[in-house]
Amino acid sequence: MSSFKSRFGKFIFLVPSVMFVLALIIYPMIYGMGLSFFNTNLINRWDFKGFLNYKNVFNNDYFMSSIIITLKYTIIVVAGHFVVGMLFALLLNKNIKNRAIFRSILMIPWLFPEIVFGVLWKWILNPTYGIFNFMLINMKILSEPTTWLGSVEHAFNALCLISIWKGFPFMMLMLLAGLQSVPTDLYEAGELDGCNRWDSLRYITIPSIMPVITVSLILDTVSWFRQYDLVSILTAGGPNNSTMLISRFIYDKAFQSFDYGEASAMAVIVFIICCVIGFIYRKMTTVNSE
Amino acid sequence: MKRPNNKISKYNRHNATYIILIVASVIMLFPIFWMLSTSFKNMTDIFKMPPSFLPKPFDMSAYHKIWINYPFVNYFANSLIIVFASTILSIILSCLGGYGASRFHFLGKGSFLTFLLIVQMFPPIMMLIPFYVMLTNYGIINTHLGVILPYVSFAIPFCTWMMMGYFDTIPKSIDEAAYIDGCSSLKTFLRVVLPISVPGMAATGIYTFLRGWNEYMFALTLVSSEKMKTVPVGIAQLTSENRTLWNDMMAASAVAGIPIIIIFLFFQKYLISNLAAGAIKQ
Amino acid sequence: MKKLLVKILILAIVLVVPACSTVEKSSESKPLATQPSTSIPVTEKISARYLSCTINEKPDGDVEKEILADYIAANPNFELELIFVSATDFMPKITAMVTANDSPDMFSNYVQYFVALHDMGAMEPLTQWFGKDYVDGILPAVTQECMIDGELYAVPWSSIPTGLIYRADWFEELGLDVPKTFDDITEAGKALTRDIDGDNVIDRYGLALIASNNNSASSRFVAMLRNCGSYELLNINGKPMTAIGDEGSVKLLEYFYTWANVDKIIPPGAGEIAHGTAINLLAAEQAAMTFSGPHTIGSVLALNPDLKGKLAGAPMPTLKPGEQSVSMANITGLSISPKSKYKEALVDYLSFFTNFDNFKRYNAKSYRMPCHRTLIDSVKDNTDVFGFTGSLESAYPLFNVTYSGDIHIALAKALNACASGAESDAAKVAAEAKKQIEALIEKNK
Repeated sequence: MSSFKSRFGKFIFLVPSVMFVLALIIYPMIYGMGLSFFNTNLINRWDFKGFLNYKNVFNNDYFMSSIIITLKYTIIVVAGHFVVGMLFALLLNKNIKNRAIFRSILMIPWLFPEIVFGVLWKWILNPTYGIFNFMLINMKILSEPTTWLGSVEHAFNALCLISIWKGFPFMMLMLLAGLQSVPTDLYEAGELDGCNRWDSLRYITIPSIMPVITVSLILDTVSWFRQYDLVSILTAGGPNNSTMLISRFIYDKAFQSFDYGEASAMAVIVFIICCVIGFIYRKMTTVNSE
Repeated sequence: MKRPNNKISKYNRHNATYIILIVASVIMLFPIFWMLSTSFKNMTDIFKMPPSFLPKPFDMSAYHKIWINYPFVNYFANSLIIVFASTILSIILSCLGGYGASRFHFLGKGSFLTFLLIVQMFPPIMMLIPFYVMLTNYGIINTHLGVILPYVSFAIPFCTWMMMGYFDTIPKSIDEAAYIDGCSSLKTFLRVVLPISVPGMAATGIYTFLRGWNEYMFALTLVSSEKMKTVPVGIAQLTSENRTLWNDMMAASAVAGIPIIIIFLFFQKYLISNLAAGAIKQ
Repeated sequence: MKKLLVKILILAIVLVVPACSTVEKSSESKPLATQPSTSIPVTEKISARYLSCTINEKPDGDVEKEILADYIAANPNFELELIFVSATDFMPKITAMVTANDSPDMFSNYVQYFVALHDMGAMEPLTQWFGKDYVDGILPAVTQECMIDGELYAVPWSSIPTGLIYRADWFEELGLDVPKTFDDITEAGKALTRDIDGDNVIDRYGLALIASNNNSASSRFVAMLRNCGSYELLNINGKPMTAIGDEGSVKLLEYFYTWANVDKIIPPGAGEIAHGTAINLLAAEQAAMTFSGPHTIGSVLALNPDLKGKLAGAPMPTLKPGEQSVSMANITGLSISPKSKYKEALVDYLSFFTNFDNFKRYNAKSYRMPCHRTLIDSVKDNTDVFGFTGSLESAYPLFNVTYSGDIHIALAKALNACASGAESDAAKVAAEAKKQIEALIEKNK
């Protein structure tokens, strides 16, 4: 009887989501992947090319460097989100007055569309009219206006910083929700045992919220690996390809070079890379949950 | 919540906390301040070299212009409808899915979860065109539903994982207590587990709402009529090859942020009262 | 469990198969009328869609909307739904629509999309609709941007030949001659870069060079390149070839580097200056020159009407003194979809839209040039730009291919690398661009 119940139960819980995903994502995904085997203009020219597109992609140095730039970017940004998010989550977890106000203020970067945030920052970092240069010059840190998003030395760092700024509230929110579900008696027990703040952080807090940390890290990584809107507005991949994230690279290949086959091959390769990352993460989580 | 004994050190700790939070808040708010300041300037003032912090003269015309010159009322209405609907639908489906994944073991569970994860790893750009084709064939292109459904399908994998993670932190003993009392798994879910999962649902809801509210690429492609466009698309249109109407754009952006801030403030209060309750129950 | 899997599989097939079935791969073209139509049958209700990159521009788009309103007043059963998309998002949008068999009836067209759209079969051949006389009257510089193999595919509406725009009043004030070579630009630029109010901060720069990493900059770069004796792609004896890497191209890239980083006649952030920024710089009187078309003058005047009469246009400077300056028309065209049900009506509308009086109205606000011989006189009164009409008589030849977009990407990267100061070795940058273009040619054989 219980086995019948559990079988029936699984059905109710899982099928709605699966149906949705199948109906709406599978066809576009298969179509998107299928394009990679053709040289096509999507309308009347479908030349089957086998693996030629893949071969071209692997021989394309710009593709490889774009992948590396994207990996660098994702690692830096997710790490930044985690550090900043954890810091604020810990601070906001304390029972201080007005923490709701601080929490709201700290959420603000996340609330705006990337389009808006990107344009705003582009404006702030504008070499001629931007307020950032003006402030730095006034504070005597700079002697003359510097180009941030337009120079090879600074564009990548600027992009990373802006991305960290934009995205840390999500991590903060997740970690905060996790922290607030940790029973206080654990902390009290720890204090009785003589734990100081760092010990209780290491031995009580982090292990208790490990599932939340893991999920947040995975999802943040996936999300920012696919970053497109922000980089398109800020630098469009330049200057000199120094901020060419892979999503932008694929977009250019599809809609500026009109080479849908090759763009699709790149998308499939990116997909496989993400799957590998996901596989590694899953290995780590199964180890953790044991 | 019990206070520990050492009151003096707690006070000091709070001081440091306050200082950090205040400094962080000022830094966070600066871009917003600049956005507002720009929105109240006129075009000559915007291009002054060197730039001034405060508008001189204070010009509110941008805020009138965005409602008159552009159909922002429509943009807002569309965004609100689409994003609310997709959020609610996503929460329902992902709570069901997340609970199922958290509580039950079945053959292929690992693959199912990995499947959910990898499905969102496929670069969405390459799915723009097949989505357009598919939705045209379903007859819902350029409608609210035509944007809601894709948004839900994007949100489900992520939200299911999030809810599963959250349900994992709720001890199974609660479920078992309900079984012993004679509840079926669905009843257990609805009556017992779901009510105490409100923080998780709120977090998921906020996340999905935000992702939908800020989404640009698909909203741009899947919707053609001016009256059906969403807020991000509307704002992006204010930039063009020839000029960017900075004050209009900043005004529109500021106004675009208001619903989100209101909703978040609302959810926040809800979060706080339930979090405290959740902590005590355990 | 197996039963569940089977159920899901069936469900999936049932849901997914209908979505795959209906993309048409090709369609027979219907027999077309042999004479241009002159009026719409009054009983038919026309409900067409126009995908446009221009209707939301200010002030140009407003004039378009006015002209449309006039047409609708005279033809009440004509309805045109305006779908705006920015030029950068145009390609994904129209590709999706054409692929889904949902193509807009009419759409704006630019030279960089022209060949790709032709390849997709997205444009209706228009010679039979507008007639041979019309086609013969299209200005020489324009024909290569709207016709393929002698057939008209886009009604050429307005053009913006690239030249030099400069502050005539400042040139007069400083006793400078109009620059004829790029060296002249360096000299004039240095003289014009100065501190006006004595606070030791430079307020005016000589040149607002458009050197961003996009098509806006690369199309201007090509116009400059052709005046250096070089070319990005031409069909030489049946073979596509590039001259990038030659002396002309290297010298031009050197100019891009030195203007920004050595002579410093460009405001800081040269790598970020796109067309919009250049307009702002000119309007705010912070720059004296730029390389662009007459529409830039219009946009600057829209922002700062006090500059009327102070801005002037001149032919693009050349590398070597005494050489003939060449230009390109850079047209905005209007195409009709072969699948449209309202071709007659749209042809009629387009004839109205591009007629003498309406174009005169349009040019007065937008400063864009006409594309048809019969329209040249319509812009006679606009003294700021009438001088640009000469450049429409001849243009340097273009060789448009499906991978032109890629070539522009390579060029944009090169010019941006030099202007932003990332690369100081122009020969190296040129060699790199040459390598990329040759690889593209090879790939597309």
